Amino acid sequence: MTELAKLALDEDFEEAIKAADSNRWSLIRKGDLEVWVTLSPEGQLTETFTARLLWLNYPGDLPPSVQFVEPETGLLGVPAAWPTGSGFRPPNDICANWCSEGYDTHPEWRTDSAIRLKIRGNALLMIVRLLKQELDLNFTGRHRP
Amino acid sequence: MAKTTLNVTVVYPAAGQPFHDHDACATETLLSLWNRVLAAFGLKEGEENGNQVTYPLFKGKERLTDMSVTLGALASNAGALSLQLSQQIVQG
Repeated sequence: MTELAKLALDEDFEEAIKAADSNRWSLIRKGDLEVWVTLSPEGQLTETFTARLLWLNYPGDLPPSVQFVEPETGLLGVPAAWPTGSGFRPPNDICANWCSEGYDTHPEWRTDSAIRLKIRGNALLMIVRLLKQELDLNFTGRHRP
Repeated sequence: MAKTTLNVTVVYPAAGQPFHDHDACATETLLSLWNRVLAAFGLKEGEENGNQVTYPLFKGKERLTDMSVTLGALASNAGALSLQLSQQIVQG
């Protein structure tokens, strides 16, 4: 992690909390390259989920790790902290090209120009909006193991 | 009276900025709009390395599958239409 990466996230974090659609999420800076985002699927305000976004480098060439977290304890891998729906694989990962876990599962995505996410602009805001869209379009419920 | 033009917005989070057409023709088909949107975002559907990449359009949570529908019909004669584009990857 470089100081430059931290400063870049500092700047993008400030922009993300002031974005026009920021009423859909709340952001907490948890570490130099770690942000927690809390949001609800559209029309499901009683269902709140918190995801940990963790970058190795920012903005970097690849998206961050995106894992749902139990906000009270900070634990990952808690089944009830995860939504269900297409793309969500509780309590392990999200199968998507906007999280590093997707590239761990599908290494071929790294060299596939049609799939690999092009990081541009405010990377934090991009990932938060992609997560929001995923929840809005695909949410079917909370995981009940 | 039915609107002849529409203010169309298509959000695709991976692109950063949304697609806007403030004067889209109400008689334009969804297929025509979808082609314009993909071109504007520099996207192309297809299969590569065994992965099928598609870009469906959504209105709210509804996936739009009838591409022959007109924008005016989709907007129910309102003056604006807001859609979302999503990338979907299907493993071969």
